[in-house]
Amino acid sequence: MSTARNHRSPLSESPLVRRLLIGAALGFLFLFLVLPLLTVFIEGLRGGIVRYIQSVSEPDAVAAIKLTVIAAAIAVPCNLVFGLAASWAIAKFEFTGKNVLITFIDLPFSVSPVIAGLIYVLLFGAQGLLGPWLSAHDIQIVFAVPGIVLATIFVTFPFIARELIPLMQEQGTEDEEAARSLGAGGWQTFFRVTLPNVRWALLYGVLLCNARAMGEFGAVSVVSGHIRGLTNTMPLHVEILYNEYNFIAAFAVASVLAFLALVTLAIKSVLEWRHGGDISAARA
Amino acid sequence: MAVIDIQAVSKQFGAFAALRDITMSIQDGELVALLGPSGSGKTTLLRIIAGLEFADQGRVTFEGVDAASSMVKRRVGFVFQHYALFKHMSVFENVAFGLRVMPSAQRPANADIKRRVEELLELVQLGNLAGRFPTQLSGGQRQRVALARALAIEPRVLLLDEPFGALDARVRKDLRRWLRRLHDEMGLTSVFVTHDQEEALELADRVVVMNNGEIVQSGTPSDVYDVPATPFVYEFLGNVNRIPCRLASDRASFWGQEIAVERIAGPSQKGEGLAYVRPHDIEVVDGRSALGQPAIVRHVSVLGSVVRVDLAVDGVPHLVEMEVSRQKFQQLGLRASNAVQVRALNARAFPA
Repeated sequence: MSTARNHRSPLSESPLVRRLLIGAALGFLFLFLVLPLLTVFIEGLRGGIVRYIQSVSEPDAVAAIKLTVIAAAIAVPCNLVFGLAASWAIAKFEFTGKNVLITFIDLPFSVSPVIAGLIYVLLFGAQGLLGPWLSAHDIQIVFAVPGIVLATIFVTFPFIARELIPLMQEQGTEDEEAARSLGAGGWQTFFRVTLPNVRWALLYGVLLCNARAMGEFGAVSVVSGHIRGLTNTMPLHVEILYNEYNFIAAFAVASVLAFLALVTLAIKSVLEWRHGGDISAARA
Repeated sequence: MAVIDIQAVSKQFGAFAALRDITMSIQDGELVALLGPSGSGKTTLLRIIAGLEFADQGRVTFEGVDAASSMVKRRVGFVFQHYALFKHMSVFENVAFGLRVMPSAQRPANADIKRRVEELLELVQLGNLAGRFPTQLSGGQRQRVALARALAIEPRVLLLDEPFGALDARVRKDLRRWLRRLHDEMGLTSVFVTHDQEEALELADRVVVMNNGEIVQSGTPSDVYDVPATPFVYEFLGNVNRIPCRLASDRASFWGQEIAVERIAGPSQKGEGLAYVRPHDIEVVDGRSALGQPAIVRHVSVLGSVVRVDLAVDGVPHLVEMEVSRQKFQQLGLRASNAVQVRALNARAFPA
């Protein structure tokens, strides 16, 4: 007599166990991810669409959105250049201090963002190491936009490099040697061969980097000084509104941030779906 | 006329000496094989000739020009073992690459590039696959694209690193013949690296045998096969039997035969030695003849056109391999456990 049991592959569980596992995972996901996300949008729209638009378009909120976009717009290209340069150097050349460089790239992952912010305060603040020199030359870094950009760069430092290093190491240097042997110069080799070889992983890294740059709270909070309309990024602005019991406005701004994150996630999924091979090679 | 001149080149990777004091030259129109086991330095030498690696000592010149100058000025084409095709480019764009990256003053017009690439793809018999991407091609097709790409810059010298290493036996054989024809038709000077002795013997005008970063022997395929300079060359090129022999001054004797001893650097020329005999240089002699060493047939295997006979020969601690033609085998009528007399038609002895 043949039953379904007999035909089950040795690696699959009984239907009951399977449903329980999937149910647990989905329930967890719903409780801790979907529900909070929905709450953000629902709370933001609680006062009606007019109040929502007002909250998002009042001058301080607009300034916060602008600052967030500016910080990301500077931090991401900086880390793009750095990430490419570092992974190129690490993957394609042998040099002393390579391991030290790899360790340093990971540092922002292991250091608490608050400490990252404090480093900049201690370095550039009024009482800091370079403080007197900076104030003598009338340069404001901490509690101003440059400090926020620096802190954002620090925190998002590893994303692109981490994405590229394994892929470039796996690809080796043969393609570059082939290009050189065919007469291509250094830049030609880079733009025609190396960059196309890593383009999807690079884009993926940029997206992750961007998501983190826009959402960063801790490090930016320390260096920002929380000056409304001047040094508040979106996450900081949300916190201030929330602390003032202005829930509708807080959730409205938060929903914009969440929306940006969702867009990033969507682009990421499309990339993974279309170029999964390239990206998974980078993660291996 | 020497196209490539290599003078006293040495290369060190950390503590490992990849090349020791290599001197050789490659003549115009020659097809040279660098043959050796892995780690013998053959690929390093090729890469130094290509300018992909630099010698610690010594120099490489191309018709008098130092190899440190750019590869294209020297017109060197390089074919990589794993093809190194650009995955994101079509076959057409791969072949066109060398033309597209030329300085704008020398770069052909687009129409000329198109014509040239199409000619090259015809030459490598891939005219109908111009629009494909490398991942859509078989290994043999990829290798031909790599060749077309290297030929696009009109090289004088073509360098190939284990060009057929990753291909299966049938494709390899076809490509070998085809490469030989291409080399002759285009008037190229070519150097290829291989660890496959059959490939080197079949394809090359000259075989350079390398071991431990040194050139052990350099000569025509029949030179290196028939008159190996050292025991290493004997064993690396084809099958060989090692027969213990007695040395006295410059003569060696075994199986009642006496031959000259090859002088190689090393221990004294007295006492024990080894005579090297190819399986096809062993002959069964008439039982009544005084010449010859007694032997017992242990095993017979028919390998297509030849028959291999394993013999237990008096005074030889291991089985001796003999190869005879099918016809000869039938004449002799050999069976396992037959007693025969054998002798060597051709042998070279070296001090042990």
